Amino acid sequence: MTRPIPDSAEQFKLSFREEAREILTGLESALLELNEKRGDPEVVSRIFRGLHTIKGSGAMFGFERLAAFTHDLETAFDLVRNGHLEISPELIDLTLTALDQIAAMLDEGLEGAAPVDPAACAGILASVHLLAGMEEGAEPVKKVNPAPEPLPVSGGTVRTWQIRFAPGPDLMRYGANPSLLLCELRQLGELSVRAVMDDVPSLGELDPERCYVAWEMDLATAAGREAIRDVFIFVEDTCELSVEELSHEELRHEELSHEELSVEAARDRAPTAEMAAACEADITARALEEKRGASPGRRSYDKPDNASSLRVPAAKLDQFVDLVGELVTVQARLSELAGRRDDIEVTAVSEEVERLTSALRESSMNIRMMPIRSTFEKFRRLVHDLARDLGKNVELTIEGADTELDKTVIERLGDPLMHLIRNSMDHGIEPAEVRTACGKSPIATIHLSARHSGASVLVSVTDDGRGIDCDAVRRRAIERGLIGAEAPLSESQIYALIFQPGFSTAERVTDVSGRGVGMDVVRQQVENLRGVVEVASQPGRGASVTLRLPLTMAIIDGLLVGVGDACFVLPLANTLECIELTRGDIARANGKHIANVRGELIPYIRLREHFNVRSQAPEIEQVMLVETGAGRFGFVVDQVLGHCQTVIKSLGRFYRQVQVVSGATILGNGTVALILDPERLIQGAVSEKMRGQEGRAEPGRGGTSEPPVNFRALAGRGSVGPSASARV
Amino acid sequence: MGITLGGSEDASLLRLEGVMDISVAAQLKAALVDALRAGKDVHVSAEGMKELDVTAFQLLWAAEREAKRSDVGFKLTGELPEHIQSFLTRDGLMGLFAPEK
Repeated sequence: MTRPIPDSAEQFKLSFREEAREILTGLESALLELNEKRGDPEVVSRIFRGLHTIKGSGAMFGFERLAAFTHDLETAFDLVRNGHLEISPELIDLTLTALDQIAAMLDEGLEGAAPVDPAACAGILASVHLLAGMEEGAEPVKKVNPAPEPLPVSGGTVRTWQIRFAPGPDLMRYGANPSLLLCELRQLGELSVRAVMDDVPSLGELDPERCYVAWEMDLATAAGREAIRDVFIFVEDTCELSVEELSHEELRHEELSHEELSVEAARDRAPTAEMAAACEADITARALEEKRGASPGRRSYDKPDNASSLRVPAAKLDQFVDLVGELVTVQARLSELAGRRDDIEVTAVSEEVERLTSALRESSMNIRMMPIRSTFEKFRRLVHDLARDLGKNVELTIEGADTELDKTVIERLGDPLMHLIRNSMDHGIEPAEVRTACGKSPIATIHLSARHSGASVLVSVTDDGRGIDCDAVRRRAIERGLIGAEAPLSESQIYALIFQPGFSTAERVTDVSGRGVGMDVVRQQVENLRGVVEVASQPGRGASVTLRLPLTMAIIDGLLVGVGDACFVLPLANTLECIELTRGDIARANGKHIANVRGELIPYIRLREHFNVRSQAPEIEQVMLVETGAGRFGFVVDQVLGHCQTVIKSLGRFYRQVQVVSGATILGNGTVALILDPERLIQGAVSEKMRGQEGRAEPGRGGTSEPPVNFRALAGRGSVGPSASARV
Repeated sequence: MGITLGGSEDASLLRLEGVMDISVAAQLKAALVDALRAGKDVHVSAEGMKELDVTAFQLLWAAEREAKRSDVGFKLTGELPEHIQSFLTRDGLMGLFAPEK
């Protein structure tokens, strides 16, 4: 008989898919960890538990194929756990491949999902059977029923937990079955179960598809609170669940209370009961009820006391941040209005709104911040698979995984990091015999790190391979006509050439890299995130690529500046100070765009000239000094209008080529101001100057010109190469 | 197979066969309501039941309670299959459902 599942069941399945994907990520990491720590019982146990949860919950939510497939893997790891099967690289590789199929099964039926390969699944199971010495040709289990015997849990004191579980009203409708959850719990230890029928209404009022029964259970187990909660992981959001440990005193108290309640019941039957004793028993019973959790009929659907996070759909979060963005714009209008009116009360309200908006903006930005850990951890599998395919021995080390970045930045970071790692593995890391001959460890290292640096986050991929062959890059660039044969480029300028479209020094194209596509993609994607790429290398000792990324993508603090009639926003994070520039100063520099700031010569770009503003410049202009990845530069503007919180609105497709502008914002008076990208402005100006010097200059197109090489390299402030020269 | 309501002048006979779960819960409720509305004793034959889930169980439980309130007999005829008895015991439901036999 087919059970009709309403459409809303899809929502539940969606939740299962999300949770299961997280478990799969954890499993992948654990398997790779096991590769290094063979036989670590803690890791084996973690893997077993993950597979077990996916299997059990998969069966509960109608993913029967997935559950059946996972069952045999779980059995294999049960054998490992019990010492009947030795962990081997083959088993780890097989399980990793199996995880890919499980992921495909999870997405089965979804639009654009990769299809499940039944032949591959059968092959994996056959290999698992063979490795594990399981019955030859045994059919995968068709229907998964959790084993009735308790699972051995990691050693420790057996404690008694009092669990109250009240399924959410729609649990049964979603195809879930509370009985399976109780079976799962029973596997953790000795379970006594009492069903609570207090919420079941009269037959006439009863919704036949809703579960009204709740359960109170005592579980004696060595497992911890988290392991118990894990059983309910897929229904936790929609049920009432409390898990409380009973101390010895409470256990005695509970036994005592039960006796008292029995006595009370007996007295109830005998009308001569002593009221005082009965009241005392009643109080004890109520206390017990409170201890057990919410009273019947008062379902709190509370999160556990120790829960510190809440799962919120990303779309809701984006909507929230968009609304905060709109609020910031309205607040700017209010401030503008208050500034024009000479009304102290309006000004006070405006200032208060500004303060609150600022705090709300900070909070909303913090909500979007996520640790980079999950992105980093995903690369363990990539490194493992590539090392196997390339026949190299590579260890991935991770540092700063808790560094937080904007959700959008994290989502878009995976691809460039993948290209960098692939490139490092293929070209940077030498074969083991070469490494040994060079006196290096045969085990190479790729180090992924993240750290904060001002308003930016630095994400680096460092390897201890052969480094970048400067001469080879230069030769290739000359061959491709990217640079002149005599072009005086520093090392860092040469390194930057690897990010040119189609650039590759690889002598052969492999499955991994060498087509010259990846590094260009890296630059594009990082620049799309308003970040910059920096390269450092030491011949024979390795190379490092650092992505300098902004903390957030949605709202920035900016300085509003005026040039002629136009307004621009410069990101405040880059701004150091503001100095005056008189016509005398310009004359003293002999027309060169260089400002003398307390003895330091700083090149500047005059935005009036850059954007071809024809109106009369003021007598005294302002130089906004900014710090970029390439050093200090100045932007000359007519006037500085003040600080502003800026909601970044993306520009339309028509403006996509205007790379010096990272977006636009609506000012308080309703006008639009362009948000300038200092890095790109400088990059454009420098490359234009370089082209002019090389005699290959194209007609000036202002900031819209695409530089031929990475700016940072041209400015030469890399960790390798000479320091910047002021040639703007 | 399924849910059939019949009986004699003295009692309604509700025969439950096959899977009694959420997929037939609405049908089971309607049959129980009809049986109780007849004002006669209700006899439930559960021998042919293959599966029982909590939604079906709570309907039987509520019907038994209703019958008691209305002073109508509610009787289970025949033995519950062993695996259903195990399910009721495992989930702490066994003692709660004790119609006459």
